[in-house]
Amino acid sequence: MRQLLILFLSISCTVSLLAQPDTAVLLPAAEITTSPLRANFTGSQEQRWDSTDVNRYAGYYLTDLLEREGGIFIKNYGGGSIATTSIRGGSAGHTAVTWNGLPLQSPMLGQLDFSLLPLAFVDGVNLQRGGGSAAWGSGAIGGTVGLRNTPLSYRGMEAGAQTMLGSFGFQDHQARARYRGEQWAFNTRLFRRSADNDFSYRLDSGEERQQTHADFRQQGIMQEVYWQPRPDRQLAAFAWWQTSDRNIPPLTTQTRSQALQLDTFLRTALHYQQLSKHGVFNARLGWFREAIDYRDDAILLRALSHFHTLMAEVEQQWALSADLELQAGLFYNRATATADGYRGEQPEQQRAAAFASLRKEWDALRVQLSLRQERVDENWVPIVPALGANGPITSNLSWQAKISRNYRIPTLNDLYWLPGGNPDLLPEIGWSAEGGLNWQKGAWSYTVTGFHRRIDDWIMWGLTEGQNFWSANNLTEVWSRGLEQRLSCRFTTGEWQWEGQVGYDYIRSTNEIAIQQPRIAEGEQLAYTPEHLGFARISVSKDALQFTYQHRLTSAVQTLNDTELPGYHLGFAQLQYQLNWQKFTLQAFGRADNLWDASYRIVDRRPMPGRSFQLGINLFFKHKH
Amino acid sequence: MKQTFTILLLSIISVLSYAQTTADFENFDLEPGEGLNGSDGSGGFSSGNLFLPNSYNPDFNSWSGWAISATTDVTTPGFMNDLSAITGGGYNSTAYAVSFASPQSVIVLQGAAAGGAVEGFYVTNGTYPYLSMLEGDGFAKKFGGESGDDPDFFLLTIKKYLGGELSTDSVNFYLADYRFEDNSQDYIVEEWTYVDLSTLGNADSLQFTMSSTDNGMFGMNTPAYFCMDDLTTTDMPVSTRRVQLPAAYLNVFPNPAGATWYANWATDHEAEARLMNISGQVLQTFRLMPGTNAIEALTLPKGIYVLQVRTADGFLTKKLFKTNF
Repeated sequence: MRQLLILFLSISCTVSLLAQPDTAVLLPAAEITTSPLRANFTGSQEQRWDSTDVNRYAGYYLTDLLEREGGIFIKNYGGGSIATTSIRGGSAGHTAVTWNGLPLQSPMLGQLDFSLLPLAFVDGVNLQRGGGSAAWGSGAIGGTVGLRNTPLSYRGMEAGAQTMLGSFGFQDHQARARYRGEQWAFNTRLFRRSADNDFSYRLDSGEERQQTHADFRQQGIMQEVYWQPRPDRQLAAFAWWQTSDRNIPPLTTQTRSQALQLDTFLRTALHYQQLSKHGVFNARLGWFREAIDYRDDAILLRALSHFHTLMAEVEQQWALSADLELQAGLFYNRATATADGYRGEQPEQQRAAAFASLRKEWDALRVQLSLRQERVDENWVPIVPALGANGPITSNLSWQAKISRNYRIPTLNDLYWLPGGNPDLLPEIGWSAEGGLNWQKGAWSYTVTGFHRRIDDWIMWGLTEGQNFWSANNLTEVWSRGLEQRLSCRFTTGEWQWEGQVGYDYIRSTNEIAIQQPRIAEGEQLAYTPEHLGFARISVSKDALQFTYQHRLTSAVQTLNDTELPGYHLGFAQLQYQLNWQKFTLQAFGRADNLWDASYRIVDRRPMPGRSFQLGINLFFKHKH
Repeated sequence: MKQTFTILLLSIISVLSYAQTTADFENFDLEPGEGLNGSDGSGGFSSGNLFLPNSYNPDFNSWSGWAISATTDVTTPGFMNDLSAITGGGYNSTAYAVSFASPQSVIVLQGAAAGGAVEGFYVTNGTYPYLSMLEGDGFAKKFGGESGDDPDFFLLTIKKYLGGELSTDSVNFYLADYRFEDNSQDYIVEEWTYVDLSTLGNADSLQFTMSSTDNGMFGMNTPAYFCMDDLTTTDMPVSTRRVQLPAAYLNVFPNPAGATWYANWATDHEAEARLMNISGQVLQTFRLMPGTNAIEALTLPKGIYVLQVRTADGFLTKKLFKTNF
């Protein structure tokens, strides 16, 4: 009864709570959302952000974290508009995204709109670069982004609220309550964000113009319930509802726009986890329903589409001996979709997969082998293996390497959209290899990773001989290769603590087969794929005061309009002050985005805002039993 | 030399004295607001001495080639209004023809006009491309670009086919021209404007292609539509006209076909045959034997084809339909 009351309170109460650094770890199982053999593949480059890191980006979106700290290129169509990723020169559909272990990509588009992922709704993020299909299946070609939700790490409660106001009518309000008792834990999160986005931008001619019809509103609620009848087992239920209502601004070569897009989704999941002395067992069930309503009254267009997808997965990891671990699992997914483009049909896709992984450790060598076999409707996807290894060279230096085969299955639109859908499409598939060195000494660390990947049967929409409409075909092969470097250090001078990181990625991702329509030459860098990405970050703190400055550099890209967009530099600064009083904490912060007021574009004909400011306060209460 | 001159002189005199036929597209009896986009599966439209091929896909209600229209909407942008001319009607009339020339469109001269000269026609912009060039849309740029200074243009190019060969000569017409130094002179055609085609000479068919300065990886961004009215052809005198053989000489079955057409040539002598696609491009040339001849269709894309048969006595054409096997 008491639990029910608290659940009711946590849902209805708008005063709630923002994640604080979790300290006293009570239940290790609660932190493991998937088996370690899957999440941390030997030989991979992995970056992890916990709730402390995520909290630093309070009010921001997953894209902000990934591009500022992950060095990932985000193809952002402008404030509040669609945002997609390109990791290691892959396409938007080559990033797999999982939410507590379940894939989030739309079966219709094969990708995810990252502008709909508020960081307030996750407690942890990890980014795995490179191919991960053996573990995560379709789409894990460029990289995999994992989102985690976790219960409070101690018994007690947290509640908090945050408000941010900024330039161009920006408002963001969040509330969160988290409770953890003996057997039950609840998290409730709410957010609401809106902006007018009526920023000014400069044209090449020097003319100043104001953006119109670019306002948006987003709101969402997430409820998590964790039940732990015994210390070694946990059942978790998640429900995430969100809506987004945005006007689509005109292009710079368009007088006005009346287009708008409504996105609504409900994602629900159940997750059962059981620990034993032999290992960990996970069972997941997910049901998502997502809808997009695109309207343009000016051209009398209304495009409604929605899908639902049901997913089930079981996996078990066994510790066979101290140096030998085995993991195996089964995955099932059924997706159905409705859209005007399917002409009254309601295509359904059924996928089933089996996967397994084995890790063996010797003194100075750790090796992992994974395999996945997937069947999509009536077709077998070729079996995909991954083999990774790492080990020390000296006490400061270690190496790692991985070779894997990865794939992306065609989307429902690629297969069934009329005109142009092609039911005979094959999956995009290919091999990738990577190797790197990690060096660490005292406060300094440096990593360098080289990668090489070929993806064959790359799906593109094009004109084929004798057809007067565009259709999807396995048109080309893409060769991606590059080098990633990161240098980090941290040190203390007097009362000041310093932390810094610089990163530089060189990425060549070229089309290997000349195509007529679309017109792409052999050896040409893919559109919207910068060759050079660099960033530097410095953070300094003293007592309650913290200052961060980040700088990013993105090189020129080729657009789809026979033009090149020049590269740009962007600066970001944040100053934060924290005040503690008994069980209350107050954080106040100020931020400046695009500090140097760069005039830049990520997508052709889509202007980006200049310098903007945000002020926020975050008040929370924390009580430990 | 003297002989050439005489022939030239004679032909000039004869052209001058030939009768003319104007295709005004009023023969479809359309009321204002109506349009025909080929959804009846007819494969095209005949008006005057013209045949305007249409390719209609019932699976996704889309058409290419030609449509006949009397729609009057001059304000709605976008592809849902793809049948309207920016003039709101035909040239001093109700009906007009609209072409979606992606990648090109063709007009076949038939009857008395086959192989003859074409005088010219009236052209204007469709409402869809007009408003797209004037104001921009989600795909194509506003002409002049961000600054208004981009030297943009939208060009219609007309060539002819004669004897299966495409002419190198062409007639160009700017449906929009923003290349002027003084931006106030930039224009997008919004009236019916006459295009003289007499320089092209005799033709079996006309080919229309469109180009613009707004291009991307996926081709031209500007919507590839234009509107036509009152195309005037010259009637060839019977003496110089290629004689049309009786249709009963050639029987093709099945038609439509998925894999093979069987052409029954009901004469006692061989003939030269050419299989062309709807653009007039020759795909195959072969001898047609008396009796039944097999014509391979399996590898051809779904669509409309033209079988042209020539003998010393005259010619015969037949439309062939290819379906998916």
